[in-house]
Amino acid sequence: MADETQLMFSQEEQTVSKQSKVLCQLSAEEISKIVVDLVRYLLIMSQKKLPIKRSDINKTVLGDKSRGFDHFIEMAKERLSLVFGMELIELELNSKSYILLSEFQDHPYLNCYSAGKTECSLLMIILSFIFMNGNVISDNQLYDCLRRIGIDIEFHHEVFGDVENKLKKDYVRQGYVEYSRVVGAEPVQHEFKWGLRARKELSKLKVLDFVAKIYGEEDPSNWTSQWEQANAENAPNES
Amino acid sequence: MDRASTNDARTREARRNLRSLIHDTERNRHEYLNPESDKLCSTLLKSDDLYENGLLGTTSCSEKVLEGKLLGNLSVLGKQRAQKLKTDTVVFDPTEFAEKIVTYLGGNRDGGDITFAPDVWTKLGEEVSPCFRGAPPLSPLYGSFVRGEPVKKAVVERRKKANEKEITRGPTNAEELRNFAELAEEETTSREVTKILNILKREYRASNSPLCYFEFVVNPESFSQTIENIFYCSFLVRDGLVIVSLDDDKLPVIQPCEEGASKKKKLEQNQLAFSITKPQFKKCVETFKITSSMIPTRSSGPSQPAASQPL
Repeated sequence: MADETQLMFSQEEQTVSKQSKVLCQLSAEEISKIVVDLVRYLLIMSQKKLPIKRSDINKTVLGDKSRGFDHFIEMAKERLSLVFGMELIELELNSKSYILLSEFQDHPYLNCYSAGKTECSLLMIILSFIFMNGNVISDNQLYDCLRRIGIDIEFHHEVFGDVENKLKKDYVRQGYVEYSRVVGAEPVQHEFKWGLRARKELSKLKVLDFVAKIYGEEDPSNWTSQWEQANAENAPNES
Repeated sequence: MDRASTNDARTREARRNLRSLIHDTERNRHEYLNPESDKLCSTLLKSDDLYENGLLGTTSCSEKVLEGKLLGNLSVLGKQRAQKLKTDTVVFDPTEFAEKIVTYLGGNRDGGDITFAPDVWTKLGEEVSPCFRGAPPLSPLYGSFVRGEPVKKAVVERRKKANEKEITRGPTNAEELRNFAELAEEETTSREVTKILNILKREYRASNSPLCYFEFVVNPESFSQTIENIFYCSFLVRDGLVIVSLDDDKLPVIQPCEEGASKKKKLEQNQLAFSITKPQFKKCVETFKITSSMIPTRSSGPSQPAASQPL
């Protein structure tokens, strides 16, 4: 009987038991301290708006206790949610990089944007262009549109600074946009798409509502394909 | 032999044609993407032709590669063209959207230049930021301790270096600097004290009666300057250069001593603690109707950085 039960230990369970072993070796105090350090690390690193990598977490916070990563991250998740009202999620399944989101949506008094309100406005405009244009827009087209609202990338903008750099580097690093080469075009062209962070932080419905507001009296459902996309996004959440 | 050479010529021609078609797809993308044109179809048919005529019977790879590339390009173009196909009731036009934004933000169109009011982006940001689910910014409630460290490190390093070098030179250097610092402070204090004494003497001579204490020390524009004035006055009292007393209305008055009086009499040791809070200070300004200070406002000197650091 004992042999059978031993055989039933699957690979998963072995990893779990390895982690539990690590935890068993530590006292409750030590575990608590590590979780606190982890929470603090996540909070501070999220200020830069860059995704936090698992490898960095292991190096900086956990050290030789990296085996217990999953446990610690679960506890940190819980702590962040209960105490700070923030959600820790992976950018993409198995991508091993994390970002922090706020659990509150549409709260009238919580103003969430860390880089300042002007950044918010620029990002919203760019992301709406991309979404409404079919989730992708060529760089030249985007620059042309920005010029039409007084933002010329050739010049240093008084509010936004070096917009081209922002688009191609900063926003890409932070995960708000993706900047890639168009396949098969000559001369070389590039295009912008929504980045992973944008997909988590914004909802297409909100962007559509924003666009409708700018147009004035438009009903968002008039843009049929975008409307469908926006609703499709929400549907899986409604269960 | 003959057949082989004609075959060769044929394949070479086929290859040339393929290459020119590929070149065409790459250079004239816009024509292919134009929903009006049927260039996509025609090229596809041409390549089909070539296949029928030129490539039958050959076993070489290079034509196949070229044909593969051509078909690849055509399929990508087809996909991109399909993406552009709009079946919406309202078609999105980016330029129109841009114009609408300018109108929404209330921008001025002067010819080609567009200008906005300076705070237009902040206002838009306020409107838009609830849409983002980003984590809110954090800042330490009581400030951070980080700034303190660099100062400490420098001092420690200097001391260490001093120890490494000649031991005698190190300490004297530090002491000299410290003495200078102390001296500087002493000088400023006594300078200010003498200044205040002179002002007091001048005012006393002008009015010929003891001055109201509050009218003398209070600086209506600055609470901190008032405190400093009180502080310097206390030195004058300690040295027996002024007299602070209560007048008939039980209000404190101040007047300079007669010259040499301090040397004749033995000074009585009288101690008095005096406190004033900001609300009291404001009340003084109101009650005594103090509009300008008798003692001129001093600019904040270099000895104040410790106070201005965040706690």
